[in-house]
Amino acid sequence: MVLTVERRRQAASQGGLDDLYRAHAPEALRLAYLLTGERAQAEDLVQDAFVKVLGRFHDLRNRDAFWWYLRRTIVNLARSQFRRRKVERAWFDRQRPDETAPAGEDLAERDRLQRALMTLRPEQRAAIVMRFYEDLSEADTAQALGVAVGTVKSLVSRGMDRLRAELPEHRWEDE
Amino acid sequence: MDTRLRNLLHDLASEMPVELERSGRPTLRRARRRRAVGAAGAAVAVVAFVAVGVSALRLVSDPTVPATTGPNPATFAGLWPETSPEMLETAQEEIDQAHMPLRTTPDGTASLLATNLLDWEPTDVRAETLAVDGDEAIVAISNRTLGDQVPPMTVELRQLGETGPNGVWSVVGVSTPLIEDEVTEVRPGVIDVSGSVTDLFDGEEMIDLNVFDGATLVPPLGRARYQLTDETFALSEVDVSPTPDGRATLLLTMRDATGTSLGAVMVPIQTPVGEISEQGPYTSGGLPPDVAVMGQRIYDAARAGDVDGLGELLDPMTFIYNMSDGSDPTPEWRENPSELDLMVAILEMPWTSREIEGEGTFYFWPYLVNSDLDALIPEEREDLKSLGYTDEEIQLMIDGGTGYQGPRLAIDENGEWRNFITVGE
Repeated sequence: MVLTVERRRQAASQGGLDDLYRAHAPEALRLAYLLTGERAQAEDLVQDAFVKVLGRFHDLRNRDAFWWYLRRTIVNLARSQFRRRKVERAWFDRQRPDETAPAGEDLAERDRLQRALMTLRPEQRAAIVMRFYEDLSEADTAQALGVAVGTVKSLVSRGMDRLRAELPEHRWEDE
Repeated sequence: MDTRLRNLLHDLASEMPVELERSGRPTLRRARRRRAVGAAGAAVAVVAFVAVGVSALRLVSDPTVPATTGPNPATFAGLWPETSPEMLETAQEEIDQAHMPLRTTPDGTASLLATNLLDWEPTDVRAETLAVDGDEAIVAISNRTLGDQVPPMTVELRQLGETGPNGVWSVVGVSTPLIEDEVTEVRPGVIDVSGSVTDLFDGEEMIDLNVFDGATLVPPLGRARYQLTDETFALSEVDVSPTPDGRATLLLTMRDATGTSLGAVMVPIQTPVGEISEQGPYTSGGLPPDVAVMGQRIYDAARAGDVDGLGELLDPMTFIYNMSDGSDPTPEWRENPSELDLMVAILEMPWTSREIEGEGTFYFWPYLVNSDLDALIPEEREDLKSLGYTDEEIQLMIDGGTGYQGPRLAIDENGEWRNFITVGE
């Protein structure tokens, strides 16, 4: 068994790593940015995700499967990071003036969307991004998030409710 | 499908700069290093299996292995579940009354270890007896759900009392190719445990250390946790409580992001001789000296109910107690001394640390602050219960996705006591 793993590890050439990185890094960075809302954090997260998946993924000939693993790892890492930081962020937010309050009414719709996205629970945000940005079906979103299809429906529904509340001026197409 | 929302998301994503040359080099360097380490890990696994095979052969042929004449308390080798001749006698009585049939086979006992200490589901456990030589045996255990990337653990067992088909088997050692460790006694009652792991799998892995004596991890005689960021770990100055016979069992467990045990090492360690305390020790192991000293002073003052002493350890101008900051918390603690009990309870649990932007490293008690409640492990659940949470309340925390909401205390990297929070958000 171990020897089989060893052979698989050796099967992936170093040139393959470069190609995979070039092919998937741009999309990975954009996805991580949507999930984290911070550029530096997105870069770190994508680097960690690549290292994890390249270190584990043994069948580099299957490029589609590589993106599937990478996407799932990015979502998982984003969710973990968010949870870890949430408690301490709340503590410090309580003792400091609200520095994150909107500076004025002229925020671009894109900025307002980003703020609204960051108010969602990480699972909701990931489900919305998978459905509306990655254009995944509910079944594929469920696979990507590692949850049931019913959970995806619930996450998207509640996430959209929250976005509608946060962005009342947005002309929602299903209304 | 809301196409406006989709377009907005694509616009937003396009804000992310993509500089492949700058970010690619360090990423690929790390990936290649990791793959090299992973390949080395697989080689280590092969060597480990060969070693087990040799060990099994040695057991079969070694004429120096003494015949078992009955348990000797001074040399009792059992690590789990029996750690004394008395416990073994009790277990044998149970078996003689036709109870605990799994304990009469090596693979049955190894499977119980997997379910009881590693928290694997019984249906996931695969136990394969590699060698049996009279009263000694070696069993490989693996978890069907982990796949073939996670190597089996090796469990060494012996019949330490009665031998033959009705004799009880006890675990005398556990090892995994995943963990190479070294335990050093710094001074009586304090150990260092360091080593390396051969792979990181899904990320978010941790090494849990538990020192205990008997069938369960409770009461804890020593505990610590190390969040892996690379393939090495170091648990420094872990306090170990006394035991009556001066020995205890050390269990090192590597867990993945979901809390599942990937591999474990179990070895005997020496402890100071004394009665086992129902209260765990203050766990200063691995803390920077300033933080360890401040933690000890808070712990001592809180245990003594010394509110004035606690007041001397904090700066009212910067200290945060629940929703109030910049004021002296001691009057409230005098009115409500049970707050000090909470302080003691959380300081007796392992600590954790985090980088706080602009503030440096903060050291938090309890470690639950960093726990992923969606992947709660049994010890974490027990610790939550010991803080007064019911199963329903724990479930509410999990469902709410809010993380740990219980009491917590923080000391910064300079040894300054920064807060004590006992209310949820």
